[in-house]
Amino acid sequence: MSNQRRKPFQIEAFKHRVVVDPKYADKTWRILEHAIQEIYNENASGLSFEELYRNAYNMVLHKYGEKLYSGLVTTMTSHLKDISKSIESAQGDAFLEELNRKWAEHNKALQMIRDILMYMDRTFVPSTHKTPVYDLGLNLWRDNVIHASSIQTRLLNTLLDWIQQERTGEVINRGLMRNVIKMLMDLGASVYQEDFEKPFLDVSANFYRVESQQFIECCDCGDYLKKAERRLNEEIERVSHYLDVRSEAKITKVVEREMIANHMPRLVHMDNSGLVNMLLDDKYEDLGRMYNLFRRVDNGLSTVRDVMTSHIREVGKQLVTDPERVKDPVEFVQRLLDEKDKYDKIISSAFNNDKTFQNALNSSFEYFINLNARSPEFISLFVDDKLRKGLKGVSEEDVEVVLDKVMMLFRYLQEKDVFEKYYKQHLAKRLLSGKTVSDDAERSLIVKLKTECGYQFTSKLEGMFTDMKTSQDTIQGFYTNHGAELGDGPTLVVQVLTTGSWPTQPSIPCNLPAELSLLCEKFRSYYLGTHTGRRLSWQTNMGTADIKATFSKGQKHELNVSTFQMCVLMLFNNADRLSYREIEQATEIPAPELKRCLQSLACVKGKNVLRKEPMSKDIGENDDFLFNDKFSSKFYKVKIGTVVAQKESEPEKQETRQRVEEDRKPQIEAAIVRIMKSRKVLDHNNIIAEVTKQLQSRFLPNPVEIKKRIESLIEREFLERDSVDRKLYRYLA
Amino acid sequence: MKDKSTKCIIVEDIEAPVFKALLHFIYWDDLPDMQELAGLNSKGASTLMAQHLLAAADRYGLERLKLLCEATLCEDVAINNAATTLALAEQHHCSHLKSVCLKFVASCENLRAVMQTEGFEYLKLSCPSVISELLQFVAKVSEHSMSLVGFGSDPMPDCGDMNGRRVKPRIF
Repeated sequence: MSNQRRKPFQIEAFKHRVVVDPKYADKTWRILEHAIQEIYNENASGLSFEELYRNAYNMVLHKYGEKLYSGLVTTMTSHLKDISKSIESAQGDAFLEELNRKWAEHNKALQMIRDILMYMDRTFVPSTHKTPVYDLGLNLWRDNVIHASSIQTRLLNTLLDWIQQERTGEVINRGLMRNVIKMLMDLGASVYQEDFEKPFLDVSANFYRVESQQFIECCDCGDYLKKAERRLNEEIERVSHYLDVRSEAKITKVVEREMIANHMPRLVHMDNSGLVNMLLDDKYEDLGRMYNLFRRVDNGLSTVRDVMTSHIREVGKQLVTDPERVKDPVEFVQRLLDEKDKYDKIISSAFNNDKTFQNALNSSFEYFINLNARSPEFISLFVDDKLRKGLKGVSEEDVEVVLDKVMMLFRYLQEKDVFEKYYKQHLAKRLLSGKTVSDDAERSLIVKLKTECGYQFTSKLEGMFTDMKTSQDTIQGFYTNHGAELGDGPTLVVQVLTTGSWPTQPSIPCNLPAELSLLCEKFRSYYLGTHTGRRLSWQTNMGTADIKATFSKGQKHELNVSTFQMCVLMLFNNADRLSYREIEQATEIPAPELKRCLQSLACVKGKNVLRKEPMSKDIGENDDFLFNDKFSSKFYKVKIGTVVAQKESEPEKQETRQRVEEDRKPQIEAAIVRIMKSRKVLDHNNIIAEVTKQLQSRFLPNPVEIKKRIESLIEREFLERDSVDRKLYRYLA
Repeated sequence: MKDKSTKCIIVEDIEAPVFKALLHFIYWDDLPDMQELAGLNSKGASTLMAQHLLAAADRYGLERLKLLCEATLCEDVAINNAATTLALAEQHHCSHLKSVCLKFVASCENLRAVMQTEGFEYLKLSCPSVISELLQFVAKVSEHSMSLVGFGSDPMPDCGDMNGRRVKPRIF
């Protein structure tokens, strides 16, 4: 167009050219057909996009879209058939390469063709519901190349072959694999699945079935799991490199099923290398591997968990019923704690802190700890040992750790009331003998018990502490008031114990030496002066005394003895020789206690401040006792006969057990009454269930006992039986 | 293809000002002043311009431009351009525009006048199928007006004729 003179634009109504040439369609199509061929021959550089686009547009505009479309199909199909022949004729490895190359070329051509025919794609194709050009190109490729009889099977076999090679350790051309697989994916999910994925999964299943059988015959559990894990990772890696990401779940399922699920029982129970062995030997890595692999299959973890549970129960049961173990309670409890630590570590290092495993561990411990009825007593003894000396010099945090571990064992106990009874006894002894390593530790444990069991559990224990403190104040007050007049006399330390808080002991009176009884009386009147309405009784069986004694060569020793022993020894201030009966008469100490007392004074090497005639181990009622002025010891302070908490003897144990049973009766009754008061009417089985639930934090009530209590309550007219239904009870207000 | 290295590409079957407007729209998403482009001050000219632009928009796949032109043409249907607009709508698949045109042409007042335009001759040549559609349309329209004139005793509220058929124009 020249710049000088522009034709003025006359706008007219828009009219398309009307085609009159009958050969118009053929001529136009031939231009396009030629173009398609040139494109396939990679000869597009001589073509004009604008011209081709315009021609296609015109064909569609003038209603020759059908001719254009079918022409496209025919041309493309014939080209693809040629391509197919060329791929077929490729030999060996060149097969996939040729396929891949041709596919790339086809894609490039297809895009150009689509661009040229875009007007048809946009207008003619949707209105006639035909397949758009690009999809048509893919479908024709699929039908004429991939599904060609000479190519389809060969392609699949080649792909599976390559994968097999890779599985046996050879290196394959992953890039080429990826391109070919991607081609299948591009052709549609059903092509990928039918022409590759399904056969792939079947072949893989067979492969792993065979391989797993071989492995399991010759490997131990740990090795087998290593191999299985390796194969699993390999498959995942394979998918990430050249398969459709959605195949990952499917192939891993195959591996899991063939290598793990099908062999689970055999693996877990394998002799010398199975789960139990791994647990015993703390094989964290193997256990972790087992956990990670088994969690992938149904019932995998529950199988592991069940085997672990029954193993722990077995081990625990042996522990608690082994007669050797039971001899040393502290050792017994320590072993329990060690076992718990062991399994805690296994669960945290190998089992991913899995809560279900933690629960299984807890229930196992609960099961076997309660198999031994003395567990509550032993745990209390363990605590006693720790609080007396075990925790000496230990940092505050470490103390807490130990106490928390004890609490954890405590929680497993079914008979917590038994523990309470023993704990009270042991605590009393510790407090009264002043033998506790740390007041803070004692308090801390009480707080933990309170948090666990409630105020009621610990109120009496706290009362004991309060008494100790109050007594200190009382004694101070006593000496402030009377200090002057007492002057040189013996120093008195009194602990005033509130009867309900402390373990019940029958009070055994005895005759105190004169100096002391005066002092005690003075204290009694001082105390009662400030606390009216109270009664004091001296617990001479629980006291201690420090005496200074001088022996023959002038050696002085300070003897720490029990009150009874003090009474006996003080008699020797006025006599060198006394008979058993004389001692008995003077002190009025009951026989069994007296014998024990004399035994510890006369028959124990290194502590024999008295001599006995005749020399023998036991105390006879005809024995005589002499002051042993030849007594020597390298220590200035000599401790004789401390009151240590010991494992109870058989009869003592029976007694405690009986007391516990007695204490339970009112608790059961109180629970029954509480329940019936709110429910008014309830049947027998439900009462048992409710009562058990209410009391379970303290102990497990015996249904027979509950029945007896119900009978007793009926007698006392708290409840009545329903006249019609003998199993129904009613509350009587 | 060789277009990549060609300095000048010749585009056939489009008037230069139309192509210019097309380019403007591609870059600005906005139409230039039609009257300025058309070079004349009449409304009629800008309507014809819209026709050209609609064809170009359809050819090059500019959907929004096509809709804008369609809207303009729907408003500006007149005796002197109804036939060519109808042909345009038919060839370029503008269903709404087509039905507006059909309705316009088929109405009693307009039919005879439109049939006498040059555009109508063009329509007969280029889109013969539209003529038969138009005929059907005309038939329905006259049925409708017959019933309005009082053939039946009570005209049905939904514009149905005495046989109970709906006479509302179908959308093509």
